[in-house]
Amino acid sequence: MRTSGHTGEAAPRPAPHIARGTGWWGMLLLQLVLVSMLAALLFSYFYLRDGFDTWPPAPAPAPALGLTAVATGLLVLSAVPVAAVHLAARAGRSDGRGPAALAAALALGAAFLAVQFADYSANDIDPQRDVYGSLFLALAGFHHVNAVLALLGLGVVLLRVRSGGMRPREQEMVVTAAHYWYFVVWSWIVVAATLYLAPRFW
Amino acid sequence: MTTLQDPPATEDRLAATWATQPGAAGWFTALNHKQVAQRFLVTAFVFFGLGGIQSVLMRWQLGSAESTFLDAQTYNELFTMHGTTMMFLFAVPVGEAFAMYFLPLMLGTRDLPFPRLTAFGWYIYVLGGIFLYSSFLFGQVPDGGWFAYTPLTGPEYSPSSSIDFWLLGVTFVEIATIAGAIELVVLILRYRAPGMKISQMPLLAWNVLVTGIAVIFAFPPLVVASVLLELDRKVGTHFYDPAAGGESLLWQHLFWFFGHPEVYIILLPGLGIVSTIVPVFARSRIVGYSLIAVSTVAIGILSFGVWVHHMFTTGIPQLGLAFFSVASLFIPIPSAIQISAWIATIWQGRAVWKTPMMYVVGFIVIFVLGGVTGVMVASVPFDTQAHDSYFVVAHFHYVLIGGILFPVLAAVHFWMPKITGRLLDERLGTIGFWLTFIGFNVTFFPLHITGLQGMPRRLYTYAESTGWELTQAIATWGTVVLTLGLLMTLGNVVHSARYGERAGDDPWGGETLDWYATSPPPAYNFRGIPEVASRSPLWDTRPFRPRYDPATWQDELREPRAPVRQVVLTSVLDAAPEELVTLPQKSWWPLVMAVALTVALIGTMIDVYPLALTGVLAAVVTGVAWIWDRQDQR
Amino acid sequence: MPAEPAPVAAPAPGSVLDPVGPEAAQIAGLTWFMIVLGGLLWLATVVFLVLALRHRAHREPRANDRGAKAFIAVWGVVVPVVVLPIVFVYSLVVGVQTSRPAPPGELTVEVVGHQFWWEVRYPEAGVVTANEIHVPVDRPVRLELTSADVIHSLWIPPVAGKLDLFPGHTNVLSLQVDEAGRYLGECAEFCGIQHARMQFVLVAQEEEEFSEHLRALQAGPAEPGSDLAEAGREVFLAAGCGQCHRIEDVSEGADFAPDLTHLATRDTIAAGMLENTRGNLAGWILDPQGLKSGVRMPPSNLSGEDLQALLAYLEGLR
Ligand code: HEA
Ligand code: HEA
Ligand code: HEC
Ligand code: CUA
Ligand SMILES: [Cu+2]
Repeated sequence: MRTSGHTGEAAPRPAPHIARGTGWWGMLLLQLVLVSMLAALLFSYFYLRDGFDTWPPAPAPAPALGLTAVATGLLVLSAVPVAAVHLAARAGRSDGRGPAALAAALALGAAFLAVQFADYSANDIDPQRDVYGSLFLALAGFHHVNAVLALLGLGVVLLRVRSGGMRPREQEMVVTAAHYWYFVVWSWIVVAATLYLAPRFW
Repeated sequence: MTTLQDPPATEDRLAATWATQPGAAGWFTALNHKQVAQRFLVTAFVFFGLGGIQSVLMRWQLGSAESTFLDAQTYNELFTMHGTTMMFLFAVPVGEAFAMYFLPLMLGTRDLPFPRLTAFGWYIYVLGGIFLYSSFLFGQVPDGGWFAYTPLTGPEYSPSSSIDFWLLGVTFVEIATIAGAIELVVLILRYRAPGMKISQMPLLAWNVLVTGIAVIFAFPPLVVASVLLELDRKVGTHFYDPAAGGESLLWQHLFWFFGHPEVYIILLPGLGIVSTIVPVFARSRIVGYSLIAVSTVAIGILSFGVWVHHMFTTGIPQLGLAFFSVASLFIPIPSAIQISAWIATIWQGRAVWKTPMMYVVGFIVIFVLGGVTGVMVASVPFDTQAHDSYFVVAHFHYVLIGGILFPVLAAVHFWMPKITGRLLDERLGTIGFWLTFIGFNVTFFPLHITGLQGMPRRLYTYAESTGWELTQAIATWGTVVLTLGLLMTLGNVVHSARYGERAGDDPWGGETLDWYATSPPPAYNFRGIPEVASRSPLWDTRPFRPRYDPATWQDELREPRAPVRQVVLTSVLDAAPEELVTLPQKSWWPLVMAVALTVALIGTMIDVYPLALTGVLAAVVTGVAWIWDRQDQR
Repeated sequence: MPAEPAPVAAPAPGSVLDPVGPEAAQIAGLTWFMIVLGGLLWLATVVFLVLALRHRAHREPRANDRGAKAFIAVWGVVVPVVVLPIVFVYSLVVGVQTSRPAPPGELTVEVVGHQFWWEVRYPEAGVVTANEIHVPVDRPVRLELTSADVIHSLWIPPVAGKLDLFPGHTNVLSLQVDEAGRYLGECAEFCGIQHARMQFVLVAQEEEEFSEHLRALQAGPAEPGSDLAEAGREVFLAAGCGQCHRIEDVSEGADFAPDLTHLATRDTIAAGMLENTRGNLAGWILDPQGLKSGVRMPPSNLSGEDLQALLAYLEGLR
């Protein structure tokens, strides 16, 4: 039992507690909401795909993998600095490399988005042509909206950590933002597998 | 249950910390759960009134054959708005509102875990509702029915903006519901009074916990479905367009994957209210607490496996239908367990025949009949006859009005004394109950027969030769009685809030901690946070020896070192106190955020995308400010 | 004394519990079974509730809750666990039997739903008509259902359960009528502003009558029988009716309006709404929106003479 909060002095908080504060629970439930949305989108994708003999339907070409492989690599990589900051925050440490790591994650995330956008024009995705393009828009768009919001979150955390160090409130923010970012990373693997790999097998 | 003796000065310190700032600024920045929940309650009842007025107009039209009271378009708009209002703007929010007001009290804490989210939820609920209703001003009232089937609601067959009002407005309200659900789940898991094990929390908390989790899984698919349809309408995608590989059945799957859990999301808080009231008026501890808790969870889980029972006539193969039919036929078991448990509890004790109990008894009588017709429509061959007929209309009003309206009215009679500090008039209440009960049955029982006589639902008129006039006319007269009953209740509430007899803290001999607070409860709920060691804290001998050393946290809670709002965070299963957390005291951001999002919504609606973009950017900026800024921590 | 009531064009809808075909009869049996069973369960629950409330006045508190728990076990678990499988199995049996497709080679009728009328085709006979389905009695019939626009649902309560008409799918409804007669068919899925006025007439006839009817429809349209009707045909074309309505050998039409080749043989117009009389026809042609607002047919501005001619022509379309 310990107290924390208003005064902002750096009360060292034992790990299990900061890991399961209300912010953590809120983020968990938010992620369940997002998972539920993702599931609905995946259901829509495969349900509609079932109505076609060939997929993707002509004239869309089978999705090329090159760019997206690069993008995925960048995104997965970005989880590393985030995890480092996350672990440091959980332990109540505020080592000086926090801001740098967060900046790296931001750069990697932004690069991911840039490469993906290059991929869409290269792959000739047209949401208005047929339902294939529409589904592409929906799944990728869902992911990218979350990616942008999570990046904003990381940006806020970066500013806070730079100016204020690692007080309890920053710790909680780091944990929350990091979990959001993990969601962005793993959900992209699911989305990319659906959009880019599934058409090769079914 | 125990608290330590408090020195009088404490009271002022707490009161000052938890007080809402006076004036308009205070009103807009208020975060306290009771204040916001009260707004939720009032708003939900206003929407109930609106939905009720729409239904009365509909019933007047249906009361005679070939009636020309309403034209076709108006009638279609009315049933769409009636269904939408009752389901999204009344039934779901009203359950959440009672939970938001009373669960923190029953669990022995001071506020909800995310106070700013509470306020934000109410703002977008109201703005979403106003947005939906503003369609009346533009003569573009939604007219696609409350489940808005495509392709009728797609761009080709509903080119006007009416469906956009529906999709965007309802999505807003759904976001409010999801926000409320997240709050309540965290509240129940982490904010219980020290010592209140999860197996000891009030049954209402179990029901709301399951409701919250069901909202978290059921509402997002509808948000997705609505966004996809809006994309079809605004961007020209083809999700539901059969001509370009889309599929109108997709909408039905996504809608009912939400829609079926939705009806249990509506039901469960009602069941929780009943489980709260029955022991108090039966003067007996609830029999089969664990069974009830387990069946609540079972209802929550099963409710996700039956959505196709709304689609029995779409031509899905029999084998698939049989699966969903079986699942639907399982759901009665947990319902039957709960009903039996209440009857057993009443039998166990000595029932006190007061208005809250009357509504509970009325609920059981009505709900079981609705449940039985539910079992009938869960039978595939019978449903091919009953589907989309008045039989289904009768079924769902029995379960909905039985399942939520009667429990809500019970709750009103039960808890108004807590909210206002004054008792309702028992005689007026009794008359109101009987009018409502009789009026309801006279309205909806005959509609079963109309359905079996072959009357489809959603008909704005029918020929005299059909023979439906008799039952429909009886239903209309029933509605008159029903309306009188409800108005009587409304009058009773309004009158008693001013002139009623003083209630005292615990007029009914309550079982749960809400009756331990004063009536009306102060903003901080309890001076000292109670410690709990049983399911019926107020009935068990008190005080008993505190388990947790009060020296550390009780003192700080009662006399915070600085004027900040503090609550105690406890562990999930055993509710061992773990941490004191500080909550925000006031905030403009919820309002600003809701307004920014509304601007985005309006921009999308009228196709002025720069405006929409402005709204989105404003929302993003507000979001940053929101997470950055907390006055209490600067 | 009021005069003899005017004959109503559309028949009254039959009751689900008054079946005239084997499908509906099976379902009616199931329905009665469930009504009685459900009614008894409801009644018993209410009786228990009342008993529990009743002897509240003078009673010692009960020593233990064993009795109460036993009640929960029996009424909450055992009874549903026994009753529900019975309901399910009975339903399954009825479901399988009523959804069996009619054997191949039986009469097939294609029904296409439109906002707000029914297109009816007999593919083997090459016949297209609207808002009236003729079937032979005592014989299974396959209705192949689809839609040209939104979702509709076809329901003839005393004959069979309903089935939806979906754009882009074909659903097959098999039914059989055992008693000759005219039955009201209804649209059961909300399909837009005039969903309420989307009905049809199912005419069940003896085999010979039915074949005769089909042969009549197979023949081309009747030639105008008079000069007036002859002129009416010109009005029909000049007024633009032919742009939407097909009349064999006269106009092409469009696929969202009913075929009028044999209009005069039908009992009703406007999807079961009006009796097919001269007055109704005239009123309909002049102002369809006034009668059935939102219908996809524009009003026309015909002179009295033209209208008379047009009516004469339409009345001759046998
Ligand atoms: C609060 C809301 C609520 C509740 C609780 C229920 C409860 C149930 N509903 Fe209902 N339902 C709706 C709201 C609700 N429903 C709505 C709104 C619609 C229509 C939507 C629309 O189309 O607009 C609908 C439609 C609907 C359909 C689709 C009908 C159609 O459109 O064709 C079906 C089909 O299976 C169904 C089944 C059931 C079943 C099996 C239950 C069961 O959960 C009931 C269980 C309860 C009991 C059975 C009573 C207690 C039991 C006993 C006392 C024991 C003894 C009894 C037996 C052994 C039988 N419901
Ligand atoms: C919780 C949900 C709920 C509730 C409570 C009700 C309540 C009522 N409903 Fe509702 N109904 C639905 C949910 C609900 N309904 C749904 C989902 C549909 C399907 C819609 C669709 O097909 O799309 C439907 C459809 C529906 C129809 C079928 C329409 C059709 O298919 O053509 C009818 C017809 O009789 C009807 C009637 C009524 C009546 C008379 C009431 C009465 O109980 C209402 C009584 C209330 C009042 C009379 C108001 C009393 C006034 C006050 C309390 C004071 C007001 C105060 C202020 C304004 C400040 N409803
Ligand atoms: C823009 C298209 C359009 C035009 C032009 C049009 N109609 Fe129609 N008509 C319809 C549609 C659609 C219906 C089906 C209405 C319904 O019942 O919902 C219909 C129905 C009818 C019916 C009833 C058919 C039945 O079996 O129920 C008659 C008769 C008719 N039209 C006659 C005419 C005549 C005569 C004209 C010309 C003066 C005309 N129509 C012009 C679209 C049109
Ligand atoms: Cu067609 Cu309703
Ligand atoms: Cu359901």
